[in-house]
Amino acid sequence: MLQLIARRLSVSVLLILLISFLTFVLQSLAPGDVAKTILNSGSGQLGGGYTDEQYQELRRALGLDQPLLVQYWDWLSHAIRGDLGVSPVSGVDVTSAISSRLPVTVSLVVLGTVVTAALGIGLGMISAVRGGRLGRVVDVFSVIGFALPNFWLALLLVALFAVSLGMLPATGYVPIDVSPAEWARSLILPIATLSLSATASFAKQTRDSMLDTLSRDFVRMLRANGASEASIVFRHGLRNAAIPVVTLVGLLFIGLFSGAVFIESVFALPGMGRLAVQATEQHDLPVVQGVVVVLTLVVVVTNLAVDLVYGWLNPKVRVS
Amino acid sequence: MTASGLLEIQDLRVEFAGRRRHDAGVLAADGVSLRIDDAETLGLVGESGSGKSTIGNAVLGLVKPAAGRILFRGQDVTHATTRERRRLGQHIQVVFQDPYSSLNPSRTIGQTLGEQLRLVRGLDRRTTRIHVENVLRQVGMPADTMSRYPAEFSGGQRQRIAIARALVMEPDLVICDEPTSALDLSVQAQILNLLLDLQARLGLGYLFISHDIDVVRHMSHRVAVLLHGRVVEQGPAEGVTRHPDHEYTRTLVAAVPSVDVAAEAPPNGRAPHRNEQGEA
Amino acid sequence: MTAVASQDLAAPSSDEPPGGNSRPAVSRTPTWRRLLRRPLAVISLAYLVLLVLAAVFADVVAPYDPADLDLDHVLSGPSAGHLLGTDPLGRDVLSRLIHGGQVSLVNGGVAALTFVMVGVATGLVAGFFGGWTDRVFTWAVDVVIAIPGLIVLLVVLTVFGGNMTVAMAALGILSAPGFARVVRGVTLGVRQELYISAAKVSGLPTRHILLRHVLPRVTGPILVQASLFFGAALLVDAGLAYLGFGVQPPTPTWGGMIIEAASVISQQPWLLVPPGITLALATLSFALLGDAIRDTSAERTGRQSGNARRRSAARRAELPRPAGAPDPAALLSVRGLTVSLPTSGGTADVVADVDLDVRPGETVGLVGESGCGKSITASALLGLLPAGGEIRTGRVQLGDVDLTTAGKSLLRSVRGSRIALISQEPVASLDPVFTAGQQVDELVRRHHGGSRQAVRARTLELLTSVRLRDPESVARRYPHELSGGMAQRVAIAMALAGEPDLLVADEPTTALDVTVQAEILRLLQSIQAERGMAVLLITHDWGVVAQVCQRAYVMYAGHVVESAPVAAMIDQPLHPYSAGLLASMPGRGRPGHHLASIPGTVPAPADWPAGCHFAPRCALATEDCAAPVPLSEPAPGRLSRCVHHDRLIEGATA
Repeated sequence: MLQLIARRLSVSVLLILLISFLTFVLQSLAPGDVAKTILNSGSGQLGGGYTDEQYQELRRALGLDQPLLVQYWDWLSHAIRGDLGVSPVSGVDVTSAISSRLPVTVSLVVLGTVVTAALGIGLGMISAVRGGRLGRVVDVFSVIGFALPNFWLALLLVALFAVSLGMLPATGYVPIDVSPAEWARSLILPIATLSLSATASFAKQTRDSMLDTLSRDFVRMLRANGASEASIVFRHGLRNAAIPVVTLVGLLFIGLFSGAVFIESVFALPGMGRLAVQATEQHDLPVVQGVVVVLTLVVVVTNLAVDLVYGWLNPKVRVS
Repeated sequence: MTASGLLEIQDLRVEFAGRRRHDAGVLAADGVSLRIDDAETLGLVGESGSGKSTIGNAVLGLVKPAAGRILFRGQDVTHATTRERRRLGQHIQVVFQDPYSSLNPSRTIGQTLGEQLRLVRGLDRRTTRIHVENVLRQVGMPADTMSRYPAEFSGGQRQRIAIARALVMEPDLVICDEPTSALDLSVQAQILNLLLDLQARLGLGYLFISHDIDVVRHMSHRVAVLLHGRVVEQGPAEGVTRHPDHEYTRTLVAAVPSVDVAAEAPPNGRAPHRNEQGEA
Repeated sequence: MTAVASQDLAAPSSDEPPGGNSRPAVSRTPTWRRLLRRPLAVISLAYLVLLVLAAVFADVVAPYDPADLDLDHVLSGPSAGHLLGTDPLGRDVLSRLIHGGQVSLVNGGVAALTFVMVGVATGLVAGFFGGWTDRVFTWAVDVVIAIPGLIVLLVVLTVFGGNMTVAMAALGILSAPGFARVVRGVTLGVRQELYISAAKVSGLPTRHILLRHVLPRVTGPILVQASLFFGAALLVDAGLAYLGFGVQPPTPTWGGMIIEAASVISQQPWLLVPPGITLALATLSFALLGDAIRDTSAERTGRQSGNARRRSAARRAELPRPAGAPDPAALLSVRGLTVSLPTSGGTADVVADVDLDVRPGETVGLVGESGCGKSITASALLGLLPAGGEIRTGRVQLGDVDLTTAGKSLLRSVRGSRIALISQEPVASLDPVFTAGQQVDELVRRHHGGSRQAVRARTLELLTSVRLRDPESVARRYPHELSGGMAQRVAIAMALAGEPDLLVADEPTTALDVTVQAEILRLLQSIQAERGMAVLLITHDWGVVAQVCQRAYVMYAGHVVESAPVAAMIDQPLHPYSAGLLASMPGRGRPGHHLASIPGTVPAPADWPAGCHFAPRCALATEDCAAPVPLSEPAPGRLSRCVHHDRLIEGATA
């Protein structure tokens, strides 16, 4: 087990290096560069109101004239110390820009995961044990949940609950330290959107895993020899079914980060997704780079956590 | 050394790498020497993990031996190349245990049986067809079998088809790897009878691998008993299976529950436990 | 290498009937034709074809030019002139929708194509060749899967100046690893199939093996995943358009139409509907199509083709006669037990009119081949029939309880304490996530209660009583750390926890090596002698019956065809099936000579004849056998379901 974690960690470090470097390379290939973006936006004139000299000077100042590897090394040595550089477009410190956006996205994704997983596992368990109509409802909604574009669903919810009924704010975000109640209200629709599309399919997968467990030989053996039904479902069934479900929770969590990009746009939430979209539009390399690295870190840590829980639940992995 | 027979295995050694780097490899075959003559059946008997299937797979080129030699008609085929294998495939064939896994479910029987003829022998469509129909007849399957898929047949029928696939290339030696272990008793008898008939008619040599001593005795001229990759005893079938010399063979033979024990006992009485002495 | 365990018996339900003789041609129909028999698949396909055709012929089909402004009819809502209404600039929504499909469908196609090519190529190679290719593959998949895909897409979009084709290809690559893993898994499975080994033995070229043997098996998963992914790619495409990337206005796209609708959400929320629904239905169609393909290909490659038996409509065996009275001296007395199970064509009786008695302390064998109903009978006794299974008639009297009418709670209190079970796959019959000790503990606690220490002490006692050498260490181990023999001993300890009067042993040694089998059989005998427990032993092995049973019942195609004391039955069977089975044992034949064999195979329940079930395979059959044959008593203590049993005796003496 320790060996597994060590291997995972080493792969993770390599992974982060690789991905950050790849984004570096990709960005350097971009036709427009940051220097041009700054000059264009700074002068505010049409038709490129800057001289080539100005341009070259800015490139030198930004370090863009250096070889790619040097630029990367420069970035990396700062990044390790938690300094992701300064956005040349807005002049904002990238680390602080990200850390101010991170809580929004994290609260959205964590709450979305919790709500989805709790509802999904509950529904899945019930439909596995009770079966019948609920099972078919879960089946149908899991396909529908897959098919509905979540930003569209978000707009529908806005049209209904915010525009028509006026029950909830259509857009915007209130930090929790300003007003917990408003914070909650501002997150209800975004989280509802995320959960609506994912819950049914999560329930379906939980149910399948549960049904698979309940059809195994040892369940028949336990039943035949007098184990109680509660123990079969909650002790044996849940423990065994939990093994694949843990992997699902990990995938869900990672998947919701992608979903959040759209949701943040619809609800105008100041999160990482919006930051990334804006930065991409502006060729803001350090910001994009920072977002990519932070998100990769989130993915890596999540996978590691999944591995740990997986090993803890599954004795076969734990022992070997 | 005398003229070598159909197949000769000399000091065969097969290792399987351990699962992790530090594990020692597992010895699946360790200094195994065997010999099969034309139209002869050598039975290979042992429990799970004894390495009996590994020996068959080594002959078939499906596992790589670490040491030793495999001679087919006196020619060393231990490390045959793919090209040599193609030629060897016309002499050495195989019937596996699992009649479900041994036929590709998405190909018709005709395709499965004909592909070797067309690709390896380069026969045309018509000749292939005649040839395949002929072989199917030999194993007791109707000609319309060709256009059907494996899912349409029972386990016993599939095993007949698997035997037909082996015979299509007109081999001299067939490795029978537990060919009836997946079959019911009444179907097993049909397949064993078929294998005996084919041997008598075509002069096939069999390497007959099984965990069932009774089946091996019934089918084999000579028998080799395997334990942990080693041959512990080898000799004429009746001798080895009825009056074993080696301790392990005795245990193995004694462990097989026999029906005739009960028949000798008085009706209604409890059958005597012939294995009582083996408890220690 | 695994020596034992016959295929049929190793299956979870050992009584699944093996295939009948020749099957109808249903499973020969190509997959796509069977796909077209599914209404949902047809509707989905039709919708998608419609979308594609509309997009291709957009200039002809669309009622208006998508860029035509009609400022007099802005935000009109559905009307006769504009079926789906107009947008804020008065452009016709339907026309824009039709033109929008051009961009979206091409983008989805690019993504799906990349996805399939990358996934199939890498998965197939890694799975088939293994070794270092597989290690590189696994590593690469680990890396790519951890990439935050959507953000990287944004990067790609900027780099390539909003070029959606490149972005969609990137989406295909970024999403491919999960799919490649599936392909690799399937390929790995196929590579281990014996027909691949057989092809290698014949020297077939690797290219041929890959293309003709491996690829067709992978096609199902490929089509399923490609279809699902196409749907997902449409969503991403629209999403990116919504975020403002890709094709810029005024060119219509579905995502673009949604963003336009969002800006007037308070004036005309209707505008959200057409693009959203069009998109959702397209994705839904791809998902449903994927599901349908999955189901159809499962049908085709399933070991037991589900369709094959459809031709014989559900039929039930002859009306069971009224059940006789149970034997008061017996511990277990079964009368007229008839069990039906669901089959593809309805339900069929798989156990018919079974009478069976087990007296206290007695060991009784239930013998027969797979498909004869032995294991289903055992399941019925324990009230554990598979889903849809039903005891149609009959009584199962265990002491003073009729198990067929007992309520759930009564049944639960009987299980374990009066009747218990051990089964075929010892390791699989233990829960993999609990230690052996925890599992025995649970049943001890359930049946006796007591403190933690008392329970554990009793557990160790039980583990000692099943002759485990080091019970404390075994108690701490997980099932995968036990050998088959040890696991079966633990299972026996679990069964003994409630001190049952009757142990049902369902093929308890079939999966074990013969030396281990001998140990387990000896253990069963000694435990039985110590406790005076009765055993109902279900097996296909006459040797096992001869060794441990006093009496035996032979089952054939759902019927008990003979019952007798074991020694007498082996000496002189009184049913042609028992006689045939005994004669086909290799141990009883003359080595190198033909064994007496029974022609044909056990028929599927739907194909059972109305009269004697064995008649079609029987050498003694006459027209008398066409009518239902009752059990008769040709000799004291012996029963036979054969009208010609006397000819068996003549045959034996002649």
